[in-house]
Amino acid sequence: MVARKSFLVKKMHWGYQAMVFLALILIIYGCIEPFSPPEVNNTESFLVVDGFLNVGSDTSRITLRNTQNTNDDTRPVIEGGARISAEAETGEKYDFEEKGQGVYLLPPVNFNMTTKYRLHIRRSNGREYLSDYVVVTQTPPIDSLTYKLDLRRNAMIIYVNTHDPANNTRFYRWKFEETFEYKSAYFSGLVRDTEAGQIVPRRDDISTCWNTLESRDIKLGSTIKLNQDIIKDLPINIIDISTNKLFIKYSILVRQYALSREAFEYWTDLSKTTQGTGSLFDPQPSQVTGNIKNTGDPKELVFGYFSAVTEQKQRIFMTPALGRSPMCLAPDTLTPDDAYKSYGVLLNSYIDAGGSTFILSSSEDCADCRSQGGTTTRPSFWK
Amino acid sequence: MKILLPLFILFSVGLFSKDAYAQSAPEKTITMRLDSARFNDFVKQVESQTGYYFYYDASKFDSLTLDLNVKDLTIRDVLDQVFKGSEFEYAIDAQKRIYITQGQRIITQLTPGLFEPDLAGDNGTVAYAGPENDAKERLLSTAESKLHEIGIKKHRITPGNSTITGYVRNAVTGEPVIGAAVFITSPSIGVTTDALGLYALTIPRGKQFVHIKSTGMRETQRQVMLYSDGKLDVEMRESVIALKEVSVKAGMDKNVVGTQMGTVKLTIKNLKQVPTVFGETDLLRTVLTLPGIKSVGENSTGLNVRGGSTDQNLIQYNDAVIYNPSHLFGFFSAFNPDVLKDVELYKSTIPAKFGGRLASVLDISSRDGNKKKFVASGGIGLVTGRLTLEGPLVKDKTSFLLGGRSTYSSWLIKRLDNENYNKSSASFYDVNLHISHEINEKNSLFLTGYISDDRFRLYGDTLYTYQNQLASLKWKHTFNNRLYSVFTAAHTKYQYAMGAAGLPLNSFDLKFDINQSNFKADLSYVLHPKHTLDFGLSAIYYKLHPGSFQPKGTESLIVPDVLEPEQGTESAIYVEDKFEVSPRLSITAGLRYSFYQYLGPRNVNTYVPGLPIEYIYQNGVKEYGAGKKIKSYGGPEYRASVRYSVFDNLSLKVSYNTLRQYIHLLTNTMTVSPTDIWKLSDNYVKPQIGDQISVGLYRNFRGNKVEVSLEGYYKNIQNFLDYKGGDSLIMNHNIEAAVLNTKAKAYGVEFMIKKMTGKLNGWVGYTYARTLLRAIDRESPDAPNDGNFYPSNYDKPHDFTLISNYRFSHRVSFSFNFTYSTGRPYTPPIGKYLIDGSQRVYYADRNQFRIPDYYRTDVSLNLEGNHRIKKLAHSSWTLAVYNVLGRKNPTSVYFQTVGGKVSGYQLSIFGQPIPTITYNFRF
Repeated sequence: MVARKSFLVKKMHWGYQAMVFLALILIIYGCIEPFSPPEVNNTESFLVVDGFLNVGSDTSRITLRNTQNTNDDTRPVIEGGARISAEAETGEKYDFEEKGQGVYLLPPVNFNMTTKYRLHIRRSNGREYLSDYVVVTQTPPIDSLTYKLDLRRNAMIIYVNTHDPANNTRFYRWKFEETFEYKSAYFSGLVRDTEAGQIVPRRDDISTCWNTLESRDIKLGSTIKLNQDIIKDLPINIIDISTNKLFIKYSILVRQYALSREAFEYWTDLSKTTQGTGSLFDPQPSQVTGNIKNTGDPKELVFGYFSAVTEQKQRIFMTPALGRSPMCLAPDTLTPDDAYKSYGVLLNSYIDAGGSTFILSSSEDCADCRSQGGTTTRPSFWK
Repeated sequence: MKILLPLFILFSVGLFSKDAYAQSAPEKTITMRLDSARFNDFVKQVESQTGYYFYYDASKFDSLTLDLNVKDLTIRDVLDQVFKGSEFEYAIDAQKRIYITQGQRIITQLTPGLFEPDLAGDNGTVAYAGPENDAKERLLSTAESKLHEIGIKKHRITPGNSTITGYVRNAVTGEPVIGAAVFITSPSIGVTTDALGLYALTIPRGKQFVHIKSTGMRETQRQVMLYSDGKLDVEMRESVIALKEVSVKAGMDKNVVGTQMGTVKLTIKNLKQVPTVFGETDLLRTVLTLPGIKSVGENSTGLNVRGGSTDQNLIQYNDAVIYNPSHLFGFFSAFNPDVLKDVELYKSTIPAKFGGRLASVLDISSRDGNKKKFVASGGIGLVTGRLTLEGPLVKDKTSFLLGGRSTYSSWLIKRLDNENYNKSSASFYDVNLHISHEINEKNSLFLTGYISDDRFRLYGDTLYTYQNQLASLKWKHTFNNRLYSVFTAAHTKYQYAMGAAGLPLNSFDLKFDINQSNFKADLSYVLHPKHTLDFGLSAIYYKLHPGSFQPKGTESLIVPDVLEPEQGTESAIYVEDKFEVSPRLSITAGLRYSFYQYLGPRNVNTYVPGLPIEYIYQNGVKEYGAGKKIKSYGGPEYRASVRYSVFDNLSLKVSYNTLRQYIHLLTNTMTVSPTDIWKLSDNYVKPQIGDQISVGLYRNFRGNKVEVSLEGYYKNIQNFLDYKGGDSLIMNHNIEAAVLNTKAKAYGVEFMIKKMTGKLNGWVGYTYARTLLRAIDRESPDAPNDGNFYPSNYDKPHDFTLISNYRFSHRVSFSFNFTYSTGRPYTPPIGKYLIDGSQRVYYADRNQFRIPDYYRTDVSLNLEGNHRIKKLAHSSWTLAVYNVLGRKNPTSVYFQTVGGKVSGYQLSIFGQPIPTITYNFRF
């Protein structure tokens, strides 16, 4: 009959079946850019206490400095003229001796390991500071330092292993000093003798250097959630092959400290606050100060954590010959006069077929290994 | 038609119905045989055989031929056979006249029972005998134009008020229309329909125009002659234009007429209008464009309502609480847009039936499945695919709605230009099932099930997963016209797990879950035309497993660590009276009493009295047996609001409420993180108590088309949770030591202009709001900022939002959205120092500085095919650009010591324009 078609359509009306095709051109882009914090005029500076009481057989070293503005590029102001002493709960008092540059030293003493200690500081401006009393933590020895090449990361990873059979230590912190031997691209055999006004053979060797770097990041470990106090293969340092540190010879000295729970929390907080990864889920920063307070004004900020601890250390050497020979542009060929007047490092001389003498010269970077931060003095422990 | 029409109708109508006699007398029958006959031949034969006379438009039938072979049939049987399946209708009146019409049947008599409702019943008249679905649609317009007489008819109407009660239903699906405004304009009196679509409107007797409006429905009205209390059911049709440029009328009159303040209702059609980053309609992200609602960053769907934290929102999906309403780090909200009906947000007046959270109630409802026919719908997006099936299980009685959504987003993540993320993978799915069953007119059952599952692998070897599971069963029962009830039982489970397999010795599984079972009864009683009483009770049982940390693999040296489960009960009773003092003044006053118990078995840490709650001062544990009360809290919560109409279309509202919250989300990260845990109140973590006073002015202009509101609020929160810096909240056996109890105050002003109809529609909102916290123990060394007030993480004083949509024609519309807000506070480093060979920074007082301001512009263009209703397929294109200016809005700023030097960075997530093209079609 008539209108049958429209009737059918009406029956389907809003009996709707939806298919949605989305053709989306989408570029999602999370981006990270540098951000300059607003100029914060913080004229106040606060005391920073850096160091610990070494209750083992080494000298204790405490450095006093002051805080700076974040955009202050000068060296931190050291705090001289202060009097520092370590005080035992049992009444003994050990005075540190000022050595300049804000450094205060206390030679090894036979400490009572069963008592608690605190730090007492009296600044030259009269303000007095006291730390909380801390228990002595005895550090178990490092069992071994091992290393393994990680080809994926193209890096050598150094691991630390330790354990406490008494299951007492639980919290650990490590520091290290790495030393490596390296050579400049060219050997410098000549030097200018400014008194004689001529070029003479060089007596010292400036092509072989040793550079020592200290760890910068806070390395912490805990076995509190393990049923044995064992640290196994904890990565302590990662050395990129591209740094060439491993080309000739490399050595690392690892220092190990046992921590109290409170000290561990301090170092954890400190590392969280300033080494945050910036992921969306990281906790907000908080102010980490430490266990030292101004006796007259507990609200005054004082930075640093005082602890009394024995130190354990171990050194290893390795010669994996990874990396590559240093490469440089070909040296310049100069007449002796020009060479004398130039600023280059002089390598050696040769006489050409015509009998003229020429001097080869190169840049400091290529011929003086000291320009890369090391020294030519062979460290006493080097073997 | 074999039933005798009652005689009194004939008398009262004053007609002498021959038809009625004809029905009782033997009727002449028709016998004829036609072969390709013309219609007027048929007419002539019938007229000669029966004496009936036809009226019709001959031009409509001149090309029509008929084949007919009938023997001894009545006129009606013959006509039924002839017109069956055609679009023609016939009607026979008492004078033996037959009217043939196209589309709409002529009504030949007045509604039976019109003047005597008690006797009105199934008397099978021609005019209203079971209209077909599409015929019904047409009939609605007649319902509008005719005069409905309500109550017992009297010759003289006595002055005074009477009450009309009835249901407002969707004409097509039969679903109740909830929250529809039913009102008269002079004097201004209005009510809204409840959860069953029921309303009770008390208005002066006499002739009245009753208007009925609801979101997404075509506005309708009824002329009534009100004699006494009576019943008027209303059916509403959906707006035909239901694609993008929907005209939304909800809340227009509610704004001025209701006592509710700070309430916003958004339907799925509103939600679809707001462009989102991935092109998919997102409920929470749209809610975030409303005044007074903020979040810490654009990757987060955590809502901060009027200074409340993200856990202070009661988010209910069909009355079951949902604990983690987001997918995929918060980039998506957990609600499938295909199954949603609407969302209602309460931020100032919180009805007494809700409780347990301080800041807001977000009441999300799914649609009921189609009761008439099976429908499949779906979508394929860039990130997700969706499919929804719905249809009747028993026609007109039982329907189901099954929706599923899943993602294939891992490839998308790989495109994130961030090393941490592009090594990751992520996926999620959610499934909704909703069954509604109408037992009879007075009883309906609703069953909802929902599961969601998220898993993502971050940084290569850590797998996070989380699941929401919830189920609710709701029974709506109407005792009588004045008393109806809703009984709800629900269960919710939320759990997460984190597995790390990077180092064999340290591989672990970390798990958390929360279970909540609740029951509630909500009753509503029309006590008196001026008093509506809501009352009920609620009971919740919580069981939480705060954490289990287990070794993974045989090599793992992890010591299993399991935190003891927590359990508690929260119960409440409430009563609330809605009192219409006069047409100008109405008052709603409620009292809720909530009672909480923290129950054993559990070992509770004890601390040295007089010293701070710190790990170092713990002096033991106290053991409590199973079911034993450890701690209880409770107290009254007051809810009151007053509306006064200063003059027509301008009203002043004041509300005050107090709320208590016994369960808290512990989080010390910037956004809601997948490892945040919930915690019940215990001896140390006290319930949060909030009280808020709000004052608002509401004015509608241009015939309710433009709605303007201005609201101010002041809020106090006791025992607001903040955190001591640096403490981990995961697997913490002394969680109470990591928590900082603070006192919070929040205040603000919200201004909004909304226009939801016309060519240009949308809203403009401006908010000024502050949220400040202060440690309760102001002397404690952990007290931030020396124990003084400091801004909360989401304190963003200025916030401006423009959502606009301009319709050039029915086929082309353009949306333009703009958002501005003050930058979030942060804590910058203000100094540095050297310790242990490396440079360290120290930070300023908490939250004293702000990241750069946030602003973003989005545009979208919607192009539609033609709107011919008879067209087989409807299609549309949407072209949208999110962040069209490409501003790199910093989501966070942070500082890192890299190689001994302090550097600041800012992270922006959607730092460039994101274009999307969507093609939609449906049939």
